[in-house]
Amino acid sequence: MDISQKKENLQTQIGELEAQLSVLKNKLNEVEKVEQHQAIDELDVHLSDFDSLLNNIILFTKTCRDEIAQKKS
Amino acid sequence: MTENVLETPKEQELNSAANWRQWLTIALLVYLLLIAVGMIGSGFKEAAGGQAKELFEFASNPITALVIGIIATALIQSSSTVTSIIVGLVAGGMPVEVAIPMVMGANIGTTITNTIVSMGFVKKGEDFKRAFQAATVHDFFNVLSVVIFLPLEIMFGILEKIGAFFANMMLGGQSLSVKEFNFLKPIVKPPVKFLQNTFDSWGFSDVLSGSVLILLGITLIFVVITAIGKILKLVMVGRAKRILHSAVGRGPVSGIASGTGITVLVQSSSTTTSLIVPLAGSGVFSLRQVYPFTLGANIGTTITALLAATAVSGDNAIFALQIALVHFFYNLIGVIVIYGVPFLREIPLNLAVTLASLAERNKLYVAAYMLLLFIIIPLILIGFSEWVF
Repeated sequence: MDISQKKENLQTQIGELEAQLSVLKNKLNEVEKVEQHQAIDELDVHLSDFDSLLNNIILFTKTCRDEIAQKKS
Repeated sequence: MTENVLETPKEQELNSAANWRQWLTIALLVYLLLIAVGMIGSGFKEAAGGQAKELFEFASNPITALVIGIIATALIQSSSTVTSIIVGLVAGGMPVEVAIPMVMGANIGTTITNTIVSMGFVKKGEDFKRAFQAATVHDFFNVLSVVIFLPLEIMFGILEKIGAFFANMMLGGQSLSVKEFNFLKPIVKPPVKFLQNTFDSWGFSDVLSGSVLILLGITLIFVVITAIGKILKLVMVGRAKRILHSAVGRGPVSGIASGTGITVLVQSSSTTTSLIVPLAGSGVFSLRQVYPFTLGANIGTTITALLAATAVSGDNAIFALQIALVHFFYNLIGVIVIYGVPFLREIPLNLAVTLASLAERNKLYVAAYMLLLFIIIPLILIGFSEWVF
């Protein structure tokens, strides 16, 4: 098999792989979209998070303290 | 849809009545917001007695004005409240050039809320990293926007001119004027006048009467915007979700548009940017996907100041509208320039990713970052600017 034939075969293979990759990427996009729609549907759960900012600060401060204590020990 | 089908006619009737009550409450709250802006404007005029410009001499340094905007908004956690107060102050005579850096500062100050929301994920490792990235990309965008536009504003006054041009077109011209159609004046002015007369009858001096009006106005704006935010969050969550659904997989322009739309609906950029945090934290949406939503929130939040400006009448109405328009164009141009130029677009993303990686390893970076952005850097800037200006 001469070099140009080898090159042509490889290019054909690349083309086939690219087509497969594109199909897989499209499938991934579709799955991602379904997941994103589900996450948006469940967004109500997080609405109360915005009203508990003080709790978030307390939780964060506690985590910081724990991390510092852990590093010291 | 399914819920509606399952509802009995009696339940539908009750829901519809509840909806009406909520909308009437919102209409009443918007009316109170307009009165509050009017109170600040009138109170300031009365208290300053033509000396408004001198009163704001301390903030004539643009960096000081910027820092006032940052700190006031970070403390109140609502840029809508701060920009509405600024509109009221401009209506009372505060110079527009003083108000512009304050409005820019409000954009930075408001970012504190979603950063605190992201702290709720602190125990969740990778989720926290993603949530913190989504929160801070908004911070870095707004800081970059100030870094680019504040020096340009100081040197050339571009935004001031754009705002003046459109305000003149809307209020000043003959054919395009909306002045004649200002139906708000007759319904906003009487309550303010009533309060002024009441204070006069109590023997208050002009300064005391004006100061009480300003304080009442600021308190009322804060209470009203908080209440509107809470009610709209409940009423609009369904619509906000529909907008988000429609933007999925449609690219950045659609993301910006939906971020704008949701913020207009809930009248709070913090709510929009905070809604994004859990979506990004769970890893369902990537940082690049949520980035445009947060930018849309910047544009959408300008509606409150524009609404507030409609309450102002008299000689300063044009300046109140001008500052509201400056707020709008600052955010619109900021999104077009920073998001439109690939090199600039990447800066907030890269900074957010780097900071989140550091924060994941050591949470003290988060505390240091917040102290730096909201306290230390503003104080250093004030010191530096006193030396330069």
